[in-house]
Amino acid sequence: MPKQSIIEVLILVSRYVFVIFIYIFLWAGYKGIIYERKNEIHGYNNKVFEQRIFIIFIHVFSFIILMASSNDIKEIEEIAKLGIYSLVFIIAAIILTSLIYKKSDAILWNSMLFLMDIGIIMLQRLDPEAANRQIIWYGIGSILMLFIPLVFMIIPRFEKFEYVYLMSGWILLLSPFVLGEEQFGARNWIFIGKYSFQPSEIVKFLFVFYLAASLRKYNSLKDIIIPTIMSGGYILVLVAQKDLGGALIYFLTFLILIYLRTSSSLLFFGGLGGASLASMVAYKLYSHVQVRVEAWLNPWKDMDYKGYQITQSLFGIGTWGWMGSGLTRGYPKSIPVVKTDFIFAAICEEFGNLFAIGIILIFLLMILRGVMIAIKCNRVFYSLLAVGAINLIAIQAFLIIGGVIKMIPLTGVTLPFISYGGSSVITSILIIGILQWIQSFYETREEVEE
Amino acid sequence: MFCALIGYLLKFIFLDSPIVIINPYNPRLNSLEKSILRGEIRDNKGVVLARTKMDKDGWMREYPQGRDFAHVVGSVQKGKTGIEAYANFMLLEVNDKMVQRVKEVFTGDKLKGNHVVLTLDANLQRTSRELLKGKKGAILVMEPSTGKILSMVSNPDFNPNELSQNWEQLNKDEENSPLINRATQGLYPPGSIFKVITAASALESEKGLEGFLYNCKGEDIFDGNLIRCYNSKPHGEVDLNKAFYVSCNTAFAKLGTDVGGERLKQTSERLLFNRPLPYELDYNRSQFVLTKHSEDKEIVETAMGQGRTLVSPLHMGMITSAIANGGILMKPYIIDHMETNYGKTKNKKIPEKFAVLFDAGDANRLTNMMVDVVNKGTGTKAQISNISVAGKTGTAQNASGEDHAWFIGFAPSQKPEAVVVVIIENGGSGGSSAGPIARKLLQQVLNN
Repeated sequence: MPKQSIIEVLILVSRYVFVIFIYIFLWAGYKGIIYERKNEIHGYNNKVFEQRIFIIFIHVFSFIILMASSNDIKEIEEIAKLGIYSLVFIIAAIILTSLIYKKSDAILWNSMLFLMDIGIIMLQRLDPEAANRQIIWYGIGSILMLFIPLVFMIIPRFEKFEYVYLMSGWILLLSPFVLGEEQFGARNWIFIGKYSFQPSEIVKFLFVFYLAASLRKYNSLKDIIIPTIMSGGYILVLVAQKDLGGALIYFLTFLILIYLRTSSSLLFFGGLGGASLASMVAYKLYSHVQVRVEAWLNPWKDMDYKGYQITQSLFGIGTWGWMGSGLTRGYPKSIPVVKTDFIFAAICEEFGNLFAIGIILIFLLMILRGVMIAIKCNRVFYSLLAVGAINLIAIQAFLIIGGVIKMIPLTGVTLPFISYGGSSVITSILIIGILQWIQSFYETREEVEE
Repeated sequence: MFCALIGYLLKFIFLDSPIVIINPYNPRLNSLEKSILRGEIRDNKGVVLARTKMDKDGWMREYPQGRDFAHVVGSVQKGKTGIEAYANFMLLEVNDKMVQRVKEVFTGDKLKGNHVVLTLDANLQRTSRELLKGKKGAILVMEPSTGKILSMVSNPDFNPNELSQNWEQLNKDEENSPLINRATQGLYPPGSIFKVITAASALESEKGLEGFLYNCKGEDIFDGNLIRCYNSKPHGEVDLNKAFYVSCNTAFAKLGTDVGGERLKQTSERLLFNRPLPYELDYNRSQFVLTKHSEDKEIVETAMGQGRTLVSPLHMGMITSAIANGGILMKPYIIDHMETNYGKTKNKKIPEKFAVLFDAGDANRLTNMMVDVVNKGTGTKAQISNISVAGKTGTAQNASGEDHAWFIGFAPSQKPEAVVVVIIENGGSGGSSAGPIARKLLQQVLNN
């Protein structure tokens, strides 16, 4: 039997296998949560272990397919190398996180690793060079993240540094005006050597700290005036930099934290109302907003330019049906910006739509775990921090998946943990790190009422 | 919120994607075409209308029935047209993918796309084409109770097997425009067949035009314009019925002014003039330009079927089908079902009601009027022994020369099995030129 046929059958079968695996992973997560709530540690540990096994299975199977699909010995070697590095990364991550973050949320770690694994597999398939760089970002992000518990141990009162967060946020946010260059129609990137980086990603992180710190002192309405002005300022800067997706994320996070703190539906809906007005103004003012809205409403009119991205994305998603084309058998490279914004479409294409729905469910699982962590917190600062953190991930994922499937207009943000991009990856990992630290904090010691 | 995401994705996959992905901008279609054996297109009895032949250089599509199906089935050279375009993805859709793919792996047999089975009848199509030989025009035969299209032919036509070779010449031939499907895209002045619509409008009008009576002297003046009946022959005193079956122009001119432009417009638009038609392949919309501000002169002309009104044979087919079907228009369709390689039927089209175009009582009255047309009026050349045929002839003046000859009709008039629309460009009198053609077509359908 010729090699070609074996590979074809392998890929054919893999489409079903991947779908089954991701749903087993999700089911294990679900059962794990149930065990956890019933305090059945043994059951819980089993499920966590199961999840990890499946991450590794998917990883190994995918890399086998990637290697088998290549005819070039050198290429195969490179693929194998990346496969091994990433496998080592996953295992190391599992071990180190359980060592350094005592009693942290294993299901949350597993979900993060699952997404990162799919990300690296897809990137290897799309652009091995990018995959190699991404694994370095994974490494750097993870190492930084592993320092979080240490940092928090040394500096015990994080909530006091309100102004540090604020100021450093402003500096970083404004830096592209000074140092930066426009890319993809937005001026929020700076370049250091051949690496580009988006300060607004790091600032997201600082922003959540700032909001949590400043809002915790809330007693009456006047206490939110300064945070509101500062947040407004951040958002305006982002708008000026044409990073409207980023502005939206900051705004929604702000709104949700305000609501949580003040329990005022008035403010919340008022804020939403204000946002709608602002978007209408933005629509009138900014031609590139108009382009995005037009492309969203009817991309078929102009498939060569305005509608190009979204139509190619929809072709990728729709052509192969539930099980996808199989890894390496689709045409994801015909989708523009596929390594970053549109990577979800590539996953729909090759892994299948059922699998992609599974990915959405994994994000949902992460959000669920994040909320469960936030609920535990007695200290306002931590609960706000947790909610803020998980919101950043949730809103961003929602915006980009929604844009890629044409549910909402495109907003130029990345898919956390999966899209290529150092700043995006590092920030996302750090966000999970914060959540896990909070979780660890509450599980390992008695809290003192504030 | 995330559930909305999942919901939208599901909606896209189920509802939108089949239409979205057959877009020529989708680069994946090309590769699918290379790796899948395109399915066959067949008529309602399984006669092969299009099939793929593989040779060493690739694949070629051949059309065994040749010109008979040139417009409807279309072709894949020089861009896709007709059913080849519309059903493109169906023809490339592989069933039992797993099984087939595994088989392919072991035997090297290409993956096979589904076959598409049409509602058309190859014999009827051949007859239609023969009846149009040497003439320019179109024929449409439909089944009013289901919406099935049994025959659709346009002439001049072309040989789909030689499309590439003749492409330039066919494109440049403006005099004949052989590439256009006149049945769906041809727009013509309706002439007297529009009297069906005027009559319907009169029946609906609250003024109770049942008692309509007019004394036809062969010609008359309306709003300063002379209107003449055929050869200025006077018809004497006519009621609505007689005016219809002798096709009295002056009576209808008067009827038109009684009914009024506004009412006529309402009726026409209900009958899908100026509206999108429930038809999924390419077509052109009929045109009706009267408004309540139109001058009497134009109302008069329009009521008779002249003026600036334009109709397509497809549209007239739909109106006639509705009359034949108790006033209800069934959505016309050409694709009956798909067949997998193993002979399994898939996606059988279930006839769908589209709209009630006429009140059942009105449809009945119109039917009776149309039966009279064939029995004792202008349509006697469409008579079939022992069968009650309903119809309306039309002789449409037009700018390009001799009058266009129209015939619309159905048979048997109670429980009709077929609707026929015939138009012969510059064919002269509808009754003499188009009527006999309609008769032969109806006979063929009823004999089967």
